[in-house]
Amino acid sequence: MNAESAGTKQQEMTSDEWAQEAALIERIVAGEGRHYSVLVERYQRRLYWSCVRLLGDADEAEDVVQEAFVKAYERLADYDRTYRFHTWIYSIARNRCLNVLRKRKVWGLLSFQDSEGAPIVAADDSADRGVENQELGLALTECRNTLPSEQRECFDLRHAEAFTYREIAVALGIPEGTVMSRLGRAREKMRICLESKGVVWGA
Amino acid sequence: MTTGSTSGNGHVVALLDQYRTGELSDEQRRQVKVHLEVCGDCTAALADLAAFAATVEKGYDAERALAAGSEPDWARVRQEIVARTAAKRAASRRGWLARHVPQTAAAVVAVLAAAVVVQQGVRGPEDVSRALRPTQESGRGEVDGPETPPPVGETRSSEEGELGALESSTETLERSADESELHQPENMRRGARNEEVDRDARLVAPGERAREFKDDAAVISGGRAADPNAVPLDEEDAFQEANRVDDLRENQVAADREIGVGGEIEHAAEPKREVFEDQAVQEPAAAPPPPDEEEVLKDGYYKQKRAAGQDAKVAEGDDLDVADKLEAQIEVDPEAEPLSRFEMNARYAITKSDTLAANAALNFWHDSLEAGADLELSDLERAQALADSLASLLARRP
Repeated sequence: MNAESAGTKQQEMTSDEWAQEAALIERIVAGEGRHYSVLVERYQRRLYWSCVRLLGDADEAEDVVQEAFVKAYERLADYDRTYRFHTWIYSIARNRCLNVLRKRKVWGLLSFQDSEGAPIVAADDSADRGVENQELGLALTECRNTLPSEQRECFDLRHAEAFTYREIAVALGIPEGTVMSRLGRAREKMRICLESKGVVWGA
Repeated sequence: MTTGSTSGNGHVVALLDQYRTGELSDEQRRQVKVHLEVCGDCTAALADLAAFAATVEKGYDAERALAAGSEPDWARVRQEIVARTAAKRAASRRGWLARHVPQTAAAVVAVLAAAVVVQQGVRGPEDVSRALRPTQESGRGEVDGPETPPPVGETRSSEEGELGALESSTETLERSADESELHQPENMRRGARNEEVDRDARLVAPGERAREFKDDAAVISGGRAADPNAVPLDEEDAFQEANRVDDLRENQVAADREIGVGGEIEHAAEPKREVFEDQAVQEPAAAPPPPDEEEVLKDGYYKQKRAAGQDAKVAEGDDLDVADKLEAQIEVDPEAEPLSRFEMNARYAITKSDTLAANAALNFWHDSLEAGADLELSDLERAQALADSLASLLARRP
């Protein structure tokens, strides 16, 4: 992992950053389309991982990411700036993921596998902490896979992408109350599952 | 808010996650804060939730690290996306040119432009050729190839050259973007608003439309290729350079389009994506109805009826209630997208002239689909047409 990995770290957007992004988008809409690469760079990796979580397939996820960015570019003028660009591009990518899943007729089977279908081998990391984290990562994947797909998506958006409840509601087209109940149920199951796998969190 | 009672705690516990991330309204935040001061259980629950969230976040990092080997090359992905959006830009410019330049003139212009490019290529002063590189490459290979302009209608042989030009143009574009201040967000943040406006004025002036006109004029006079002013003489403004390179290529493409050369460019630029997109977009519309569609429709309808029947107010047109129940019904089936649900119910309502179902579907349309939802344009239009039909059905039979 390198500098790019910083891009996936969830970050709260400050109002400054928000305004800056809005200004950037305005310039792109006004005709300075070449600046679009800034948005692509900022979100491509996060979007990719969201798609991998939905699709469980790296190649398909990459295709969807490309499609979504091109589609978003075409319709950038329609983007409602009351929401973060991330929310909007996610909902576009999500629609495409659902198309893929519909074709596949499997919605809910998830595992981190490469295109050959072999399990992904652990990244090279010799430190003890690395091994610990590796176990945590595996436990998280296993536990997430026990969740119903709609709960899992909410949980992912909340805890991996730091979406607000409102943003999740908008991206998924569901009421905020539903987001709250799905997250509540998902968290309850995740706590039990992670605990059963020996994951501890201090408190 | 009551403190200490179970229901009070339940309410607060439900809000703790949003309290943690500062998403609550001022009033809600104040209520939770007041409650936390007197409720040890909730304070502990908040701490536990924060620790849980931090651990899970680490878990996601670890999950990504486990699969890091399968990640794409991000520079390549970005480049491909940028190239495809550049192609879209070119396509939209093409529309403008088509309206303003008569076909014959465009044909003559393109031939002239190609001839000039050949000349420039042969002379090739260093800086000029640098500025013209993308044009030369998109010039149907005249530099290495035949000395006469290509015959009208020749497409296949130009495709590779065009793709190459697209890539090199993208490189230039990306390089320019890298050099620009946009990659240093703090500059933009620090920069005063006026500075921002000034820069915009310098870059876009004298307005996008005027620039397009000038570019088209440049094509008519043989392209900027022939214009020595095309070489940046004073400051190396990366944006302007990128703009010019972009425009040169786009105008070339536009001119080619007019005379039928390189008509395949767009397809060439996105070979397999087009297929994917078509499938993705058309599938829901073009796919034949599944064998059990009638069943599904009935099912949807009965659920609606049931929802409606449970509440007498519904029959009187309590819109919100029906919409809520419709939404609840959609939740029952995680596979059904709001759009397809709407379409199914709308079609049923129209077929059966069922005003109750029409009302419910229309409310759902207004609440959930019309505005915020992300729909493909074709889907949106189809759905809008259905909504219009529903509205006219209701207008006929109030």
